Amino acid sequence: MLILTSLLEKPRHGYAIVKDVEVVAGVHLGPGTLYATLTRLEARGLIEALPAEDRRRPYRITDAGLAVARARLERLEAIARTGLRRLARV
Amino acid sequence: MKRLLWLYPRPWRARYQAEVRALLEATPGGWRDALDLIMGAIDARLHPQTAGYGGRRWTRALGVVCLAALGGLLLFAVDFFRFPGSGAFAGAHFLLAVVLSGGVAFASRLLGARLAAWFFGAVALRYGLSLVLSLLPIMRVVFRMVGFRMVVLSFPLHILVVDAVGIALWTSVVTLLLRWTGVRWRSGVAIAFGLELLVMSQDFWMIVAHPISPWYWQLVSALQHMSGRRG
Repeated sequence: MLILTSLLEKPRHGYAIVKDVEVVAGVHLGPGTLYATLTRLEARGLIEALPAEDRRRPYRITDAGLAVARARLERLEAIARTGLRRLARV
Repeated sequence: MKRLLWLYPRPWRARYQAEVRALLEATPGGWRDALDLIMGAIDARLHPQTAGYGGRRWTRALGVVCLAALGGLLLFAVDFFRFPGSGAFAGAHFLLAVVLSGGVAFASRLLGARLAAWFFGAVALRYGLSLVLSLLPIMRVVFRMVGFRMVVLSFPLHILVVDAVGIALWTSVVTLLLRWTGVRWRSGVAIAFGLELLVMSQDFWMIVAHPISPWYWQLVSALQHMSGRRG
């Protein structure tokens, strides 16, 4: 989800994804985790690789990836909204 | 840290190595990133299908055979230098590893990787459970009561037939249980392979455990005595 969210803004390569996730979520993605996830997302057709720039290959979110990201973010938003509402009553 | 990329499967490296190397050059990684890379390599080897670079089933089964045979060969060497008079015991280890993995290979060829994985998982679980139980002192009593020998720890050649029957029965029961619980076969392969390696390396654990766990060594001696071997 972190990677899909990062790619919502624009296509990014591995290093740019790591930096963006660190800024947005405060999470450090290790290289093994990052590429294991990219591999799966690409295999499921949620992202696609663009032509390599030097050795760096940017990734772009696909239409299917957009649909998945939208559904999950809306779900997260509903959970967060409910949680905050209940928290306000405490 | 770049050398860790050699742990990844060749097709994976052909696809991703250049960009990962670029990433590693841009970010000074510590031990956590190194560990993360190792875990990623294990994941890539366990789930080659996710990236569409999975090899043929027969090729993978052959790889298992080679790896298990190599493990058996190493055990043979360790046993030989540790106990110079236990050639038959060490040879049985080697035989066990080859027969097990060979069985998996042929089952994979004949029945498909899925059924082979169940078979492999069941057999390895049998040995894995034996090893785990052997670590519990109380199980000595149970072993004596039910006559449940340690197949791996005590493996004289003359009880091979008895053990084969036991393994067949155990395999049938565990296979049915695993199927009933709906465990995914990929997870089964991972667990089974880890257990098999654990069991195959039991001589290493015996050596490590000896100075700190006298009761464990006593258990090994008792089992050897029960099966007619010298303690």
